[in-house]
Amino acid sequence: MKAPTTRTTRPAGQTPRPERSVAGVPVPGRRPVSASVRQALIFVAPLIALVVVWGGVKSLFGLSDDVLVSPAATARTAVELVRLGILPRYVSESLWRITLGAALATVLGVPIGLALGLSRYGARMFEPFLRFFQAVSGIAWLPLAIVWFGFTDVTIQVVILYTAMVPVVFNTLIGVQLIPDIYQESIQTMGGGRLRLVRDVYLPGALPSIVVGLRLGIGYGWRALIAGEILTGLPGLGTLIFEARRFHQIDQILAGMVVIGVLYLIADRMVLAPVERLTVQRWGVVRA
Amino acid sequence: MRVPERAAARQAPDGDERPRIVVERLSHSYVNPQTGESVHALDDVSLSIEEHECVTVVGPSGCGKSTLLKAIAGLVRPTAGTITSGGREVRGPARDRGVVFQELAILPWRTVRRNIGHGLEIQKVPRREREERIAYFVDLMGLRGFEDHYPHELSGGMKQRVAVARTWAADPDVILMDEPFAAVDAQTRLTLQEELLRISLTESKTMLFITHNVEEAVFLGDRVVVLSRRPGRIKEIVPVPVPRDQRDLGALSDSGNRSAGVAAVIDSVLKLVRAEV
Repeated sequence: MKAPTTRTTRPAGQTPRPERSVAGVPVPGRRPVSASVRQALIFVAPLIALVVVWGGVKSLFGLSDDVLVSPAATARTAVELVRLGILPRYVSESLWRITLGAALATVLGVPIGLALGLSRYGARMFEPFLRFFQAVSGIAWLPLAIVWFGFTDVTIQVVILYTAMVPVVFNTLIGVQLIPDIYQESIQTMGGGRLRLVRDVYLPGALPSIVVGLRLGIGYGWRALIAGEILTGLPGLGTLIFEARRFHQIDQILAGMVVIGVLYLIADRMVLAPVERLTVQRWGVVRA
Repeated sequence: MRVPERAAARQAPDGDERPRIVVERLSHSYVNPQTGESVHALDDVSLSIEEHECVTVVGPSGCGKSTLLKAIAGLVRPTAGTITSGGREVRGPARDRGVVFQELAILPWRTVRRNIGHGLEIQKVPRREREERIAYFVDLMGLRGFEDHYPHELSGGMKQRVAVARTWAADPDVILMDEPFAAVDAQTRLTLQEELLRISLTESKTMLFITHNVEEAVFLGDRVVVLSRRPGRIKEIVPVPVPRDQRDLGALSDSGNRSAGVAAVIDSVLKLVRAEV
């Protein structure tokens, strides 16, 4: 069985999903249960491997706690941060920001992507424009945003929105362009107007691509958020790890980094993957 | 099963014998976007289709058959000539002219039921009546038990049945079919042709059917239009003397039980088409 070990950084939406029935390994009896256990194992295995390597490097090279802290010590610090109420507060601040940013990026990005994809010249005119903004990362906007909006939540929101919206617009646009004309024509010959086309053809037809855009957008937005928090100093995971550097609290830095990564994984698995399963895979547009 | 009678109400009053579709001096040229070449697809085509008549069109590949259909559907704006449907000039697609496309045009994200009911949904037909009509066409097209399946779970032949049912269920006055069975296997094709003949007799409609299969054209049509090589011109219109309700699949198989009248028409149309290839 090919375990999708290090491929998790591939563009979202194409994460290889393990097959349920593996040839040569008959699983008698309660198959659904063992299948989901297997799935969970495959998901967790590379993470466990990472922890093992981390601990191995620490003890093998005899690194002092000023350079690298052991996984166990990091876990203890994390527990302590939770106990003190710092981690829950900072996590909820960060999660709230990314949720708002992602929601705004969707609400604004999808209609813009649709409009550009549907107009004859829109896509051609705006493509270089979009590519330009794809190259100027959200973080590069932070200095300007700070000048305009100060060290505030607005600055962070602007940067998240900008970062997340570009892939959403781009992928929506491509998704619409890939819909065969015949779907549109068949609705028109049944008397369907513009609204029908958007609702019944363009939106569902572009959905596979929109979900990819959202996954990328939230991933990029999450990074921009951490950078934004570091620069503005507002409470959040970015600030947690950045402030910890002052007193060489490597355990706190590492704990924060782990939380950042794990939270994104959870968001991706719990929110975006189910959306995909319920729509795109059920329609057979993308192979499960 | 009660056939919900909707078409009857819209039938032309007695005495009005204007043809349902009138194509006058239609010509069409376009520039092929890939090659940049100018293509003269249709040249001076005039054709009338009577109410409840089924006209089939045959001709060599690339003779403009599909262009003719798309122009009548309103999906292509012809370079010259006029088309009227029910006395009104065709300016774009509208629901009086339903189309069954050659490619699979049913929506992958709708179940069989919701695909078939799509036209009715657009027309805001109340749910109960919609369900009734869907059930009727599900039965008629042999799709019972697959109502809640998505298209990707169906075979090619079944998908095309859904497409036919969808167009029929929307109850247009005219049904335009563009080689709807070209992509299905020979066996399924025979079944679909027979089903189409049956459905066209129970639910009387004006039909235009494009095909490159001469047997199919003769089997399904009241008249067979033979188009020339590009630019497509009408070479001849051959009437089929055997009424549609007296035909059976024998007309399509190679065995000897074709009725003599149908066989003779197939032969003469074949000769006309062969001269063009």
